[in-house]
Amino acid sequence: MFAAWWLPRFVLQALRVIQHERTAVLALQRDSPDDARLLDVSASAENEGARIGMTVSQAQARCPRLRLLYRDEKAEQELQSRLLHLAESWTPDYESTRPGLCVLDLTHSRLRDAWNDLGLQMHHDVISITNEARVGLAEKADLAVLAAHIADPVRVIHDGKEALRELPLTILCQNPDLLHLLHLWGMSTLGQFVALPKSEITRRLGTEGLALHDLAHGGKDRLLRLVRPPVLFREEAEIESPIECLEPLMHLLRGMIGRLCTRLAGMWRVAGALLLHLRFDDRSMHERHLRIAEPTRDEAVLLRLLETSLESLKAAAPVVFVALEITPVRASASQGSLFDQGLRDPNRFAETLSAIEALLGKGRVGRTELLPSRRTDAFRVVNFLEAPATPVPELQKSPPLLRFRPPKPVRLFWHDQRPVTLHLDHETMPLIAASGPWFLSGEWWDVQQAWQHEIWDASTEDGTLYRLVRDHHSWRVEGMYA
Amino acid sequence: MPDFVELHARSAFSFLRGASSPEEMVTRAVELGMTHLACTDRDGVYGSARAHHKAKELGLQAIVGCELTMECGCVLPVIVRTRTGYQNLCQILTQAHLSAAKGESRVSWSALEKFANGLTVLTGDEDGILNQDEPLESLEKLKLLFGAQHVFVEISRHRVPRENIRVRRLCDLAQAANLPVIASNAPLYAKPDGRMLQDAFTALRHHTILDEAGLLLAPNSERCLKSAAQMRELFADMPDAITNTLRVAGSVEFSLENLGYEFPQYPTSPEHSQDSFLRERTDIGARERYQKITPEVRRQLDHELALISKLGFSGYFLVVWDIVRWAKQNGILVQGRGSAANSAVCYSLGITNVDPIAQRLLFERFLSEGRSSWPDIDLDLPSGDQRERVIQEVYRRFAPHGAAMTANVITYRGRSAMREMGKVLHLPQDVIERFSDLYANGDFPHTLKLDEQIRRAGLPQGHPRLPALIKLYHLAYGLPRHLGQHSGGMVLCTAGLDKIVPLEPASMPGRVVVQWDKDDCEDLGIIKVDLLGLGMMAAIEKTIEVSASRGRPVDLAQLPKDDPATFEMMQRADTVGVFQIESRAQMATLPRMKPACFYDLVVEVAIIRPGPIVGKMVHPYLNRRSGKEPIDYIHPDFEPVLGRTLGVPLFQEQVLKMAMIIADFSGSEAEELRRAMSFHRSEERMTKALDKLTAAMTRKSVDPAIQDRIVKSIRSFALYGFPESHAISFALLAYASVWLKVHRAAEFYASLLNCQPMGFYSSATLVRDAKQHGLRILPVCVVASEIECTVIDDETLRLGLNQLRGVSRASLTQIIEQRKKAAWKHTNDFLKRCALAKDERRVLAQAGALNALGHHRRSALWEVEAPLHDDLLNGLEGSCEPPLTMMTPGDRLESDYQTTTLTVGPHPMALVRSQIPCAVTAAGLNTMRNGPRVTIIGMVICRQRPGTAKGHCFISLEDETGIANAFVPSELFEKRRLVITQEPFLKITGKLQRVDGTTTVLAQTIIAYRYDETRRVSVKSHDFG
Repeated sequence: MFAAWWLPRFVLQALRVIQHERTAVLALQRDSPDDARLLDVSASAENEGARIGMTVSQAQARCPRLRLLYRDEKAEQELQSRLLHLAESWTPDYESTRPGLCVLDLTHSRLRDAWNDLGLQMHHDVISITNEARVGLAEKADLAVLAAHIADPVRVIHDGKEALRELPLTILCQNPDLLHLLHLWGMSTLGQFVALPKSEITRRLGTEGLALHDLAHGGKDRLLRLVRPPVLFREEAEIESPIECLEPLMHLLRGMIGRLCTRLAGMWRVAGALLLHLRFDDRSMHERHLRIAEPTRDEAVLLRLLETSLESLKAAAPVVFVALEITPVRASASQGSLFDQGLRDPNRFAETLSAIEALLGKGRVGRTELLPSRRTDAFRVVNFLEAPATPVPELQKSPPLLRFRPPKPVRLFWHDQRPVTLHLDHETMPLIAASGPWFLSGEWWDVQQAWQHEIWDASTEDGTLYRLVRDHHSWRVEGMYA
Repeated sequence: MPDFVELHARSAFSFLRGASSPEEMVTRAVELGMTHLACTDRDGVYGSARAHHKAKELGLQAIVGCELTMECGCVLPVIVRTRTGYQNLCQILTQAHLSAAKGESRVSWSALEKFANGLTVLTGDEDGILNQDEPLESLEKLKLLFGAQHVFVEISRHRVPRENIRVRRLCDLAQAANLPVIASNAPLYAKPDGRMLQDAFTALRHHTILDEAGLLLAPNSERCLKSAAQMRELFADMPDAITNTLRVAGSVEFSLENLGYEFPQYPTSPEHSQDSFLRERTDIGARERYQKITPEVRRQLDHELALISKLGFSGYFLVVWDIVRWAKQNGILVQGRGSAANSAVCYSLGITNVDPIAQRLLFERFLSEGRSSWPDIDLDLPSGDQRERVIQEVYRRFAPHGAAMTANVITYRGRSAMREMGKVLHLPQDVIERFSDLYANGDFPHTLKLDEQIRRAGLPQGHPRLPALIKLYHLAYGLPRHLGQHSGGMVLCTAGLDKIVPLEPASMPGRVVVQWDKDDCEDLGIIKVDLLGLGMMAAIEKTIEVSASRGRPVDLAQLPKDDPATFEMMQRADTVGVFQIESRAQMATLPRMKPACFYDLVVEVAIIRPGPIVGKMVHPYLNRRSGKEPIDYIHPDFEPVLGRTLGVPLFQEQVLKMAMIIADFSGSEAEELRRAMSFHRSEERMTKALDKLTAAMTRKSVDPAIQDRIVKSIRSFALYGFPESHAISFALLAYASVWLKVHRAAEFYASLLNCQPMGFYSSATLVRDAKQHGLRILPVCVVASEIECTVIDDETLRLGLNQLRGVSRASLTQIIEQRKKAAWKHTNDFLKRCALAKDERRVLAQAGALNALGHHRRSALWEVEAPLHDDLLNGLEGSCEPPLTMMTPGDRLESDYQTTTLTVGPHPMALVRSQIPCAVTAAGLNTMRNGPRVTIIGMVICRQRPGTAKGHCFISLEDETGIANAFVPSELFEKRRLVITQEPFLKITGKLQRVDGTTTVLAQTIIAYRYDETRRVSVKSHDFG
C-alpha cells in the first residue's frame, strides 16, 4: 500500500498564505519580463479571475485588492523538509516526488487500521504543519498520487479507477508543449487520454507519451526514489556534571573526534570544517566554525585546532551540552610541488589565526579585500584561506596614510575658501599649505547608503601633512601621511 | 572672446556617454557666460545641428567637432577649423561607419593621413591616446598627421584626489613633444545633477546595475560645464592651458551655416540648363493635364517657374519628376501629397494629381521667397516591396554617396525611461512591467501623475531608491536613446552627400542613413524627398490588378467623381477598411457630415484631427453645416477665403490668406505664422508670431474685438490645421477606396487582407465586415488556396496561405510548387512532398487547411503527429480511423484565432449570445431611440485616448453584428484603467446617445466580460492616443 501526501498551492502554503486571502505569488528571479507573471494564486484570488501565468496588471484588473508576494524558495524547502520529516515518522520508505508531494511506501509497515482511517490520521498529522493537505491511498504509488488529487481530504482507491477519469491531465504532465498538443487533440482529462490506443500514442509521442499513458492508467509498479537521511558527522553530549574547565571538555571532545574520524574513514572522507556548539548552564551558547586549511582526519590536528580556539574562551557558567559536527570533504588529490611557495603547515597557520581570532573577536582576522568603491574604508575582511576575489583595479597610488581610528573631530578656520588653521586635540595649529578641495561621492541612488566627502590635504608648521575630510557638515582628521 | 572656451563637450548624442541634450549644453554655456562651445560627440556629428540651431538662437558660436574612435581603441577629439576640415571629418566618419557593423565604427590611421587637413586634434581624456602605451610616439604621429600647430595635449582637473599626478605627467609629455597643453573639463553633462544620469548610462553601457558598477561610475559630479572663472581657478598654475583654448577657437572659421550644400542637379543634355529643361517638361506636362493652357494657367506656371529658378530648385523638381516617371514606368502607383499639391508645376509634371488652379490652392504654402527652410515633396507609394524598389532606385542613381535616409532619433519616453532606469536601480521586474501597463496608450498625454503611477506599480513611497528613480526618469525623459531611420525621408545631393553629413549603415540591409533627423536637415537647408509607404496604395494597386485579371478593369483617373453609391456608403459610415475615413472618429462624423460631393470629402478628411467629436464638442463646421450655428466670416474680407468652409478656417492655406489679407503679411511671413501654429512647435514661438500678427492688424486699424476673434480662431486652428492640398490628395485616395469597396468589393477585401498589417482594423474585423456585405469567405485550404487571398467570384473569397501564422514563406511557396506538379493524393502524400516543420504541419491541421484531404481538424492533427516512414509499407497509406472527436464550434473558433487571427465562422460573441440576454448588439443600438440605459458586450478592437480629449477615452467593441462605440469619461477611465487596458472583452453599461445619426454609449460602468476562459480568443486592439 502507498500513501501520497499532496499540499495544493504549495508555493502559497510555503508563504503561509491563507486561501481566503486575495494573494498571488511572483517568481523570485526578477530579471526578465516572464518572471513578472503570476506563479501561484490563492483560491480567493482565483475566484475573482486571477490566473497563474497572468501579468500582475492583468490580475489586478480583475482582482484590484490582490496582495503580491515574492516566492520564497527557502520557505518552500523548509516546508518540504517538514513534510518529509513527518513522512519519516510513518515509514522509513518514502519519496520526495516533487515540491509539495511525497509518497510513502507502507508495504512493510504493520498498520492494521482501515485505509481510510489511516488516511485520516495522516491528514491530521500533515495539517499540523500546513493549512491544506490531501491524502491518497492506493496499491500503487502513482495511483496514490492521483488519488490525492481527487481527495477531500482523504481518498482511497482499491481497484476501481473510474473516479480518476475526470482528473485533468495537468496533474500528470508538466511539459507545456505536450499539454498544448493534447489540448489540440481535445484531451483534457485522464479518461479521454487513456481511451486513446496506446500503440498510436507511442508512435506519436514516444516514450514520454507512453509513460504518460501508463501514469494515466494508475501507473506501473515502480520503486520509489527513497529519501535517505544523509550520514551525519555529528556528535552530541548532554553532560550530567557540568564541565567547568578545559581539560574535561577536551577529553570529551577527543572521544567525539575519534568516533567522527572513524566514520570519515569509512566513507573515504576528510574533515573540511568543524562546528562546535556549546551550551552553558545559564542557557547561553557558544558556537565556533573552524575551517580546516588542509582538510584532514588526523585526530591530533583536529583536536589541537579545537583546543586553540577554546583556550581563551571564558564563560559565566559551566558547559552542559556539547555538539561537534564535521563537514566531510573529499581528500585533495593534488600534490605540493617542489617549488611551491604555499604554507609549510597550513593547519598550523589556521591554528594560529584561530588563536588570534579568539583574542580579537570574530570576523577581525583575515585578509582585507578592497571593494570596488571610492568610499573610505571600502573593504571587507575575508578568511585567509578563501580564494581571493577578482582584484579591484588599483586607484592612483598615494603616500601611505596613518589612519586615526576613529577619525578625530577637528575645527577648521577658513580664509578665502581655504583652511588656514586647525584645532585638533585642544591644540591650534596654523596651516602652511593646503591642497584641495577634492570631492568624492557615491551610492547616491539609495538614500540609506549615499555618501559625500570633501577632502583637503593640509600641512602644519611642523611638517605634518594631515588628511581632512568633511562628512555630513562636520570635519574630521582622517589621518596623517607618513 | 572670453577667457576660456570648452572644446571637448559631449552631449547625449554620444549615446550613453553624455547626459544632456545639445540644447541644454548650449543653454548652460550661455548661462555661464561662454561665447563658444565645441560639441564633440562620439563617432558622429549627431548633435551638432541641434547645438548649432540653439547656439544661433542664443547668440553663441557652436564649434563642430567629434570624438573619433581609432582602430587601436583610443579616442581622439577633433575640432573642425575649415569647411575642408568639415568635409574631411564627414568622409572619415562615413568611411569608418560604412566599413564596420552598425555601432562599431573604427577610424583607421590611414584615413587620417588622407583627411586630417582642416582639423585640430586634442589628445583626449581617460579614453585618449596618451593613456595608451608609448605616448610620446603617439604625439609624434599626431604631429605628423595634423601638423604640430594643430595638436594640443588635453588636461583636465575634476577635483579627484591625486589627479595632479596625471596632469603633471601630461605636461611633461607635452614639453617633451614640444606641444602646447590645453585645459578642458571634458564635460559629459550641463549641470552637476547630470552626473546621476551619466552614472546610470555608464551602468547601462556596461550591462550592469549601479550597485555593481563600482569604479566604473564617476567619482563625483565635476564633469559638468564650467565657467571661465571656475576653469581659471582650477588651472591657476597653468594659465597657458586656458589661453590656448582661445587659440584653437580663434582658428575656427567653419560653422554649419556654410555647409556648402547644393540642391541636387538633374543630368540634362548640353543644350539645356536645369531651368530650361524644367520649363520644357512643365510645358509638355501642362498641355497633357490642362488640354488648353489658359492665360491663368500660363500666368501661374510662369510665376512658379520663375520662383523655382530663382531659388535654384529646378534640378530638385526634375529629380523628383524623374523618380515619379520611373515609378510609373515600372507599374508602381505614385502620388504626391502635402503642400507640393499646391504647385501647378508639380501637377503638370505628374508629381501630384490635384489641380491647384481649379481648387484655388495657394502656391505660397508650398514655396515662397525668403523662407528659412525648404519644402519637401512627399510621394506616396504602395508600402512594402514596391516602395523599397523606388528607394533602391534612388540609391542607385545617386550612388555611391549621394542619397541617404534621414535619421529618426528615438528618445527616452515614459516606458523606456522607466524600464532602463528601473533596471540600473535594480528594481523588481514586476514593478517596471506594472508601471508600463499603467500607460493607457503609448506616451501620449497622460493623466496619471508620475509618483502615483510609481506607487500603483508597487514601489512604496518610502522606498530608498524612489527619489533617485524619479530624478533619473525626469533627466532621461526626452533624451536620445538610439538612432533609427525615418520612415521615408531621403536627402539627396549630387556632389556627394558624404561631404555634407556623415553617413552610416541602417539596421535594414541596403539602407544608408545620415546622422541628422529630418528637422535637422530642414534647419540646415538640406532638401529631401519623402518616399512614404501607404498600405492603402498597395491595396488599391492590388485591387486594380485583380480586377483587371478578372475582366473588370478600373482606371483610377477615370473614376466618376459623383457616384451616388459611393457617397451613400460614406453617409452610412460604412467605411471599415477604406482610406482615412475609417477611424472611429471619422465614422462618428460621417453621418453628421453626410458628404455629398468630393469637396465634402476633402473637408471630412481635414476635420478629424486628434480630438473629440462627442456631445457638446461638435466641430463648429458641422454645426454651421446643419444650420445649428450661423455662418460668420469674422471679417467681411475673409468671405472669399473662408466661404467654402462656412467661415471656419480648416486649412493652412486659409490661415495664410487671412494673414495676408488682414495684416498685409508677405507669403513668407504668413508661412512663418503657419509654421508657428503647428502644434508641436513651442508656445513661445506661437505667441511671438501672434504678437506680430496683432501688431500688423493694429497698424491696419482692425477693430480690437475682431483682432481678438481672428487670433482666437487661428489659435484653435492650431489644433487641427491641415493643408488643403494634402486633404485633397488624401480625399482622392479615400474616394477611390470607397468606390472600390462599393463596386469591386471582393477584389478590394482580398487586397486588404493581403496587405495587412495596414489601416485601422484587424483582418478579423475586415472579414466580419466583408461577410456583412454579403461576401462569402472560404477558409485556408492546401488544395484550393494560393499564397495570397484570391477572388473566386464576385461574392466569394478564398483566404490565402499567407493568413497562417507560424508557417514560413518558403514553406508556403513549397506547398504551391509541389501542388502545381501534382494534386495531393492524401495527407501523407502532402506531408511527404512538402517536408514541413512539425510546428508548421500542426498549424495547417489546426487551421483546418488539411480538411480537404478527407479530415476534420482533429483527425488531421492526429495524422500530422505520426512519424513519416519511407519504407516497404509506402503503398499502404492511411492508418486506422483517428480516435479523436471533431472540434466543437468553440474549439474551431479558438483554433482560427490562434492560427490565422481571424475566423470565417461565427464571431466569438455569436457563440455566447444566448448567455447574455441583457446585452444589446451593435446593430441593435441603431434601432433604439436616444436616451435609455443599455449594456453592450464585445471584443475590444480599439481603445483611443487622444491627447486633446482631456483624458476621456473611446472604446470600440465588436460583436457579430458590427461595432459599438463607447465614450468613457476621464474619471471612469481612471477608476477602471486596468480593466479597460488589460481585458480583451468588456461589458459596458451606460446611456445610449443617438444624435445626428451617430450612436455612442456614454459609459457609466465597465467590467471585464469573462469570455469562456478556456479559450484564447482576442484580436490585437488598435490602441493609440
